[in-house]
Amino acid sequence: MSLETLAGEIEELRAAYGTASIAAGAPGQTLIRIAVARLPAGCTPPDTPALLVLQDGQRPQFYVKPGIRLPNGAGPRSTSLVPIAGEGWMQFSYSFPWDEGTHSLVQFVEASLRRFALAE
Amino acid sequence: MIRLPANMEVRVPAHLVSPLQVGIAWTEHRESVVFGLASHLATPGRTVLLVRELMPLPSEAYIAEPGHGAAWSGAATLPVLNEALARHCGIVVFHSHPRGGPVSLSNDDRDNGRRLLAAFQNIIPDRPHGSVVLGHDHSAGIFLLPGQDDYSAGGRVRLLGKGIRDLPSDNTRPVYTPEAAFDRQALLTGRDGEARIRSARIAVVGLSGGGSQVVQQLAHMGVGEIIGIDPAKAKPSHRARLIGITASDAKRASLKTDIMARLVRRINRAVRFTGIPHAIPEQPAIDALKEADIAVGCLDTYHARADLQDLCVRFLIPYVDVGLLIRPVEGGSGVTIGGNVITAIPGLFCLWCVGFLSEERLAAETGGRPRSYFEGADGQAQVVSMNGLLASKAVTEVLQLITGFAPVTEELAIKKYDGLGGTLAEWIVQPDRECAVCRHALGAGELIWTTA
Repeated sequence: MSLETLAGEIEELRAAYGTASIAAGAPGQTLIRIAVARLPAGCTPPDTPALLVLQDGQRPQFYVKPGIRLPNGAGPRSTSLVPIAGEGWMQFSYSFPWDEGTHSLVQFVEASLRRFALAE
Repeated sequence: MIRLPANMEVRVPAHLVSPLQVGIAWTEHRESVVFGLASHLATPGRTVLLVRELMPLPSEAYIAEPGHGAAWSGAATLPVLNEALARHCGIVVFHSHPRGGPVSLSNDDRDNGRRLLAAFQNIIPDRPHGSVVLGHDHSAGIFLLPGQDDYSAGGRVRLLGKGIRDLPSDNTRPVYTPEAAFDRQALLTGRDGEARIRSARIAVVGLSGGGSQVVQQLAHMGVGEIIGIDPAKAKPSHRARLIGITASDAKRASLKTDIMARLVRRINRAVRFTGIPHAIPEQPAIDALKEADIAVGCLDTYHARADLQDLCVRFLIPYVDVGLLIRPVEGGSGVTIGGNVITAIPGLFCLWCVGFLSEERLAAETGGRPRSYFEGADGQAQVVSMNGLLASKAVTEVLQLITGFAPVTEELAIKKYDGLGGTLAEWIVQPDRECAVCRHALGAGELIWTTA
């Protein structure tokens, strides 16, 4: 992702979520923290901090904070906690088509969050 | 304005200790200055500057100015500022007053330090900056923290190595009060060693067969604080190996942290036990780990070890890993009993450098599936006596780190246990100097987030 594209994506994220903070991770890695990402209706809490990890040439990785309950009251399955740059985040398995050339990071975040609408 | 006292520390990883000491050695004519690029970690009561790289001031940059220990051209600071900006680091200016006993910044050091730190803060506002003088066994410094206008003074410099060497400022030196309980131990460790033991904070991550024995021995040793980290509750199978457990604990499913708190209380009420019923990398566990001088990991899985190692590398915390593995011989009869005690000192090597952790091992542990499907390693064989042997060695490693009671060699080694042969042998290791974890994450500290 070029710097211009990244700057545009970050602006879109800020427009969608209010704040998006940026940090440099390992070489070639950019971390974007969204303070408040709205979860699907019925989830508790209703929103979560979220983290996007962008690595050159790779699909973005998406993390949220642990403690989310699904609309049916259950905890999401197939999740694990991982330390990312010194902070604990929850990763989860959820696949959907993604093409960096046609999809935006906002679309990526929204698609990822839809995983929490699934009843298990 | 100077605020006192400040809970400040400058932590230097092992591979930079010697270059720092050489760099600040006096020449015939003047003091020598070395710039350290530092990230930091912040806890509610403490700020630790984590040195990532050293940039000695080139000899041609010094200016002869009578009345100053060392003066240099402003232009010489520009490359340091540029590198600090590029790496999101703060700057620590090191020099030395080579003598024993307490040292202090001269008025000139203090004036220059204030001016420099303010300039550094203006350009790099999100990291702390410092000016530090090192003596043979003490240090002194002033610091400017993010978002503050007044300077902090005091604190200590911690030099990591096979023994942790602290250079306290005059007001932070641990004091030894003789106690009958420790008079035999003190014959080995000495007064200073006992004082350091009494002020040490040791995190024990994993409180089952190995971890509970580590906690028990640390309590007997009289460390200042044990931070016990484990989210699990007792169950009947723990009665065979968890030190301090009662039948009632197993029945009531007591938290392991509560069992350890009781165990420590019964051994020595002066030892503070902080129970954290969470797993690494849950945030309360990470926050507690940041307070530790040393982490002892008694964990069952490579993934858990990788998480703990990642945090210890990032925050420059020496990590003693204890592991026991009893398993059937592949394709044959009988069992193999192997184990390890690995003391991973930031700047010497990490578990990745020596091949103990590898992507292949992590993938094998999850059966090639994503980590989010990984259920853990319950059900592995464990035997209390073998846990105990490795725990004892781990606690001895902690004692060495705190007190430096044993002479050290240049060689890097880990300890391998053969449970059938009954041996605990030293294996010389040659760390991978291209280790990506150490190259990128060593001393990385807290991330700096920008919103602009």
